[in-house]
Amino acid sequence: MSERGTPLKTAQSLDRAPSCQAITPPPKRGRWPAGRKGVFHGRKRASLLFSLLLAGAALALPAHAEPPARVMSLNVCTDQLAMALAAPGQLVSVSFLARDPDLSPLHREAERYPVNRGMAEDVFLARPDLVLTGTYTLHNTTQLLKRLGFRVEEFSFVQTLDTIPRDIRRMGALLGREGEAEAMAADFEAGLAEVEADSCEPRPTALAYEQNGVALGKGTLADTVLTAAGFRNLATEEGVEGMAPFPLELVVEKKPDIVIVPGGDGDAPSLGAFVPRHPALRALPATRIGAFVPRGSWSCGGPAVLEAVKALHALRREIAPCRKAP
Amino acid sequence: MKPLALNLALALLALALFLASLAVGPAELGLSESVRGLFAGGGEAASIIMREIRLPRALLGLGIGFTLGMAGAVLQGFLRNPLAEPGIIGVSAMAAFGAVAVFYSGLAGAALYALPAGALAGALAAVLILMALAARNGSTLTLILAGVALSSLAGALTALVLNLSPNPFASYEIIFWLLGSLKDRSIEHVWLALPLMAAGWLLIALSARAIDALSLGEEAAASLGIHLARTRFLIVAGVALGVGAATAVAGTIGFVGLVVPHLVRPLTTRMPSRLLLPAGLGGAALLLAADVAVRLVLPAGELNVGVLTALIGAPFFLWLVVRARREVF
Amino acid sequence: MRLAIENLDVSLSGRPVLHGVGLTLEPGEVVGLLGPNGAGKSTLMRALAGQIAASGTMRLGKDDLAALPPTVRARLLAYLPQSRIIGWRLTVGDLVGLGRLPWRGFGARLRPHDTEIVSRALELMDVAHLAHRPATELSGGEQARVLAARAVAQDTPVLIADEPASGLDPAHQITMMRALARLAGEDRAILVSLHDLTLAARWCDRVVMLKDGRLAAEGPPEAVMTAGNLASIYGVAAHITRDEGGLILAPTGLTEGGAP
Repeated sequence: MSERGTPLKTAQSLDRAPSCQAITPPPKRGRWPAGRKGVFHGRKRASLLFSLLLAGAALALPAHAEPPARVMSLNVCTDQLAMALAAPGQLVSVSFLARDPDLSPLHREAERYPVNRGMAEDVFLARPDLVLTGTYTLHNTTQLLKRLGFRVEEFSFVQTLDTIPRDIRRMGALLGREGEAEAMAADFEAGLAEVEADSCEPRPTALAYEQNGVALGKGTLADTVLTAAGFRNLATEEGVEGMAPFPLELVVEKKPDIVIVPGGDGDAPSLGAFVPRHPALRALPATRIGAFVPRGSWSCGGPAVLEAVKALHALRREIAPCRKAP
Repeated sequence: MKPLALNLALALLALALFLASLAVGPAELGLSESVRGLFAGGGEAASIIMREIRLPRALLGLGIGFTLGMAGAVLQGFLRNPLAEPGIIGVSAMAAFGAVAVFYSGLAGAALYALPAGALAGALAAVLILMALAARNGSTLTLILAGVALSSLAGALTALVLNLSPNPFASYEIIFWLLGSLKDRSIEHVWLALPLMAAGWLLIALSARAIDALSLGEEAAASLGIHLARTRFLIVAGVALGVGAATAVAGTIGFVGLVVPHLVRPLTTRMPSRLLLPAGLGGAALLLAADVAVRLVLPAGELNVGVLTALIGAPFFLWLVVRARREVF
Repeated sequence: MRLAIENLDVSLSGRPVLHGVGLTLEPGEVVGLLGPNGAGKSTLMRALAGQIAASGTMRLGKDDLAALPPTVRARLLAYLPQSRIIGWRLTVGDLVGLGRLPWRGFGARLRPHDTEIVSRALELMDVAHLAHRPATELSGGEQARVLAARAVAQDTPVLIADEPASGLDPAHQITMMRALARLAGEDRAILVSLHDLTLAARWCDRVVMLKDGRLAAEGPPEAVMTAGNLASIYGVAAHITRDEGGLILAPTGLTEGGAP
């Protein structure tokens, strides 16, 4: 098991970590060492430099006035927005993680698109007018692509309920699909407002408990979803910022009313998945443990998050009906 | 020191550290609360923490430490090599690879029993390979060289399987398999591993006479009525069972089996059989102490206990290599 | 107990090493096993000790030696290998006590009877004064005697010792041979391989000479250790005299054509 914190402390900087908001398809290990400058070696470097020379003349910056005709998304979260908003034929490829049902609400749609592994060479061959990616995750790739003259738009990995309508509208503007984006953002805001209007006391405690015993605390999308649905986030109350290890013993000691654990095993088992399923949690008599949110719905800040908010809101009403106003 | 006094002292030390292991954790439980929680049962937080989280951890520390210490002692005796260690004949690495191969491939779903099943299969494969080599040429050098080759191969295969896993978490878990941990284990792990480890202890204990005789070399031992092939089987199978089960639930925890026999040996007659029990008890004490230490040193980002044992063990190993060139133990 | 072997063939890694060797060892006699390097002395001893497979018959008393379980054999026949291995820093007393292993139950300690036998073995090999010293810290010659004491402590009717006198000083060579003679006096059968011709001639009741894996000569030293046999078996010329204690043989040079 990658022990406490190992994957998630680095989730926002490493490419393979399935952090909710920072998922960008990882390059194959070794072929694209993350966090190093000068990533090309040997023949690859030579071929790239050669291509660079050829491309130098051919590549002009695409005109911003026209909507981009060829859009490529390298990040599973930008994938969601792009697939939801792009005009037919506009999106040339999405990240390979877009097909993972645990991470991508639109995984079925993703089957219709070619997938990329987020490598500069993928981009180079596809020659898109616009590259969409997450900030920070593939920093080197992004820098390289910019240097090669591609237009790269980055979306922040820090996502909350507040950033979602903003990101939807921004994506719409980038793709030249402002109308669709406005409708989608407005729907989202209306749905959210409806749920938040139903907010009342008491507010049960909840803990979003991920692989390896990592909790989602302050500043995470999950935190804002829990709050909007009428829960208190135990991790935030215990001072967890972002994603951080949360000792099993503390979960037992604090006895949250619900523990939201990853559903299913995905493609393959891992030892980390055993921690949220530890018998100590099952032994808590009054705590409900389950996935509770639709699969993949809150892994990225996109319209699907509203499904998670609604599901948790319904759960809250069930386990803790509103107190009658005095 | 008289053997009885030594064993008693080490048993008390292990017991004290077992209790310390029960007392340490992020949830701050008082002494009376802990004791009540341990024996009361029910749905109280203290009870769940003690019985479901800390007790399995302490039991595993005790059992795995005992296994590693005893396995180290028996291998050093058997191979007449003060540098021998459960890892050296490749059993740990093959056990880790077996567990990894069966578990991460999803062949057994995500069932917990896949781990010891795979680990024992890996350890068994190591045993069979070693036996095939050792049957033709019973020299200890063959065994050690085969172990080195097996360890490297198994380590590479472990990394390969983890890298190929579609689960993005899997590749990070190589840290656990190379430098093990006792964190967040449950009583299920105890039930999986403890009976197998106990069977390993029994097989090792049955080889006690043989390892004494082997102090004089294989020819002299055979002339003393020792059945060498049977001894080899007892020791390799015992070590495979014990270390296989330990690795399945805690990953590779190195150097306990190296350090402890050396610390304890000067307190004994140095007769290899007389070292088995003290080394087991000392191993339990060392692993429990290390596991308490990792929880105290970095309470939040808890260190893998395998990191700590390697930090202590590797320099010790180098010191032994230097010393072994001019001394007999 | 009489040890009788007939027609013994041994191959090592497919190469025949012993060819049809026959030999008897009677209780009460010290038999010297002689022959040049590579003649098969150690191989013969290891075959008798059950360490390597051999074809032919080996009888110990009425029993087939090869069919005896190792634990039973260890109470009848002790073997002192040529390689002198001491694995741990055991005290001399503990090390020699290992000779009692075949007689002990599982994990049982030494009984007074065992301790007595161990002390006698220590005395016999003149190492009693070293009993509490770590065996690994002794000189090579002392270690050789300690290891021999271990085999003696096995208290068996037959003792097979492979070059027990090599590396010993002259006094302790004689101590060693006298000890073997004394053991034979207790009605044991002793087979000892030697390179020192005089030692063999003066202390052995009989000598058996091997050459190229075959029995070359066998009989009392006076009859067998002749200039002719030494020339044909060892390829040496020797000055042979005698005094009241027996033969004195000093190799003086190689025979025509050198070593065989």
